[in-house]
Amino acid sequence: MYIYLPIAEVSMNVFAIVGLGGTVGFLSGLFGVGGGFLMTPLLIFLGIPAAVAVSTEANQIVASSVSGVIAHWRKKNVDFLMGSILLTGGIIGSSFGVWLFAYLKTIGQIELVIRLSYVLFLGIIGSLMAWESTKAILKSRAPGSTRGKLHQHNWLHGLPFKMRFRRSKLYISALLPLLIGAFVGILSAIMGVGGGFIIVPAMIYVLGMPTSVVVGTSLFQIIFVTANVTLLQSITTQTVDIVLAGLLMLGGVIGAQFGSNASSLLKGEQLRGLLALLVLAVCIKLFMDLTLTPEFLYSLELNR
Amino acid sequence: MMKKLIFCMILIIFNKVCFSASLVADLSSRSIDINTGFTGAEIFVFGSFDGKKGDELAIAVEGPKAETTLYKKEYTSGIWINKDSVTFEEIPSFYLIILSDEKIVGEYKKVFKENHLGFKNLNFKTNKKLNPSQARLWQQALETTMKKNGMMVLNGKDGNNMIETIENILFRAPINLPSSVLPGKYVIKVFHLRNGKIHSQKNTSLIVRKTGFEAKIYNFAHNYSIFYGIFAIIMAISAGYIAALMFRKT
Repeated sequence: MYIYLPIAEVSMNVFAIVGLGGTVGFLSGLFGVGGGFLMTPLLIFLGIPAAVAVSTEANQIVASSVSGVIAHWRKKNVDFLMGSILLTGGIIGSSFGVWLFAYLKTIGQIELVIRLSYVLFLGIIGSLMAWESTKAILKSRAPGSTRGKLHQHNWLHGLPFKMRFRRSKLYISALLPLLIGAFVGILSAIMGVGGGFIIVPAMIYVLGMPTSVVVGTSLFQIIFVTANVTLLQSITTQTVDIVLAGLLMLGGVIGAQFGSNASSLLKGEQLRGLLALLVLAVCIKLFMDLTLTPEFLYSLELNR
Repeated sequence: MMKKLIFCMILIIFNKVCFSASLVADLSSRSIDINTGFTGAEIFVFGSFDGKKGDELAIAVEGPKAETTLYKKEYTSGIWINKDSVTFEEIPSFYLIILSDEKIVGEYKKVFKENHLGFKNLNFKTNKKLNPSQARLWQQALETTMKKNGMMVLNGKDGNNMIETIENILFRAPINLPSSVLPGKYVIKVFHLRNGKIHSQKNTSLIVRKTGFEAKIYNFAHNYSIFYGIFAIIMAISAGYIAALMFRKT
C-alpha cells in the first residue's frame, strides 16, 4: 500500500515506513537514545530528501521521547533540574544549528557536513563506549572487585555557578550541562538526531551522573530540543512532513515501549557494549560511502 | 478514460474525413491530481495527422521549470566531496521525448536544434561563464543525473515509450509520469516531420496539481508555518503520551 507524502513529494510504502519506525523505536527504547542517528540516514537512503528527513525525524523523536520519558518517570529515573539546564543550552544550540543547516544547504555542503558529523561523532563515541564497557564487563567478572567512588571529579566540575543536583547526587557547575546541551543542540539540528548518543555518554563520563538517571534525563531534554527543531524547521524551510512523521511515530512509539521494557533485562555495561557496536556499524557504513568511489559523481538540487 | 479516448478517436476520424485538418493532438486527461494514493500516472497523447509514407512524429513533454544546481564530487584528502557546481536557470524538472523512429534524431538534426527539441537542444543558461567544451560536459552530466533520478525518459528501445501510428492518420503515445513529478504546468509539443522539415506542430498542456488532503497539508505547511510547527509538536506529544498510557503495566 503506497502513500504520497505531501512535503517529501514522493510515494512510499506505508508498511515499510511503519516497520522502520517500529524497529528503530525498539532500539531507541532499549538504549535511551532518540534513534535518529539510524533513522535519518535510513530515510535518506530510502529516497526522502535530506532536509525533509532531518526535520521530520526531529518531529518523530518528540513522540518517541515523550513515550520513553513517561516510562522512566514512573521509575523516578529523571533528574528534572539537570534536564532543564541541559535543554536551555539545547534550545540555544539547536536554534543556531537550524540557521547553520540552511546556510550549508545553500552552499551545497550540507550532505557532506551531515556525513562527516556522523562519522566523527559515531566513531569517537562508539570506540569510547566499546572500550569502557569491555573494561567494565571484564572487571565485574574478576573476583574481589571493589566499588569505587561515585564519580571522578575533574577541573570542569569546579567551574563557577555550582549547583546541587539531588537526583544525580552531584554538586557541580551549571555551566557544564549548559555547554553540553548547547553543543548537542547544534548537532541535533544538523544531523536530525535527538543527540542521545552523544549526551548519554557525556552525562556518564563528563558530568559523572549515575547510569540509572541518565537515560530518563536525556529523553526529557531531547523532547524540548527536537520540538524546537521541529518548530524552527517548519518556519524556515517547511520541510517537516507530518504524514511521514505520523507513520514513523505509529511504529516508533510502540517499538519504544517494548524496548524500554527490554532494557531492564540487560545490565548497564552490556547495554552500553551493544549500543557501542551499533554506533560503530553505522559509522563504518557512512565512512565507506565517503571514501569509496561513488557510482555517480554528480548530484543535483532543485532550488525552489 | 478508455471511453473518452474512443470518443475522441471517433471525433478525430470524422474531423479528418470532413475537413482534412493537418495535425490535431489531445491528451486522455488534461489534469493529474496528486492525492494520497498517487504513485505516478500514465496518460496518452493522441490525435491525427495527414501522414504520408516516410513521415515521422516527435513528441516532447516539458515539466515545470526550476533553477537547478548540479554538483560534482572530487576526491579530496581521502573523501569525495562536492567541489565544483553549476546552476542552470529554468531547466524543466521533467523531460520526456518520444519519437516515431529513433533514426530521426540524426535525420532532423537541424530541425531539432532550431526548435529546442530534445534535451541537449534546450536553452541552457548558467550562473557562470563556461567555455563550449565545459558547457557540453556539464550539460551531459545534467542529462545523466536527471535520467538517473527518473526526471527524464527517452524513447525506449523496448517499445515502452513509442508512438503508435495507424494508417498514417492516427497516432497515440503513452506519457508515464513518476510519483516524484512536481506540480505545475507540463507542456506537450507534437511535431509532424516531413522531408527534413516541420510539416506542422501543435502544443497542448497538462496540469499536475496536489488535491484533497495532500494539498491541504502542503498549503498549511507553507502558508501557516508557525501553526503547522506547533501542530506537529502537539501531534507528537499526544502520540507519545497515548502510547505510554496504552502500554502502562497494570
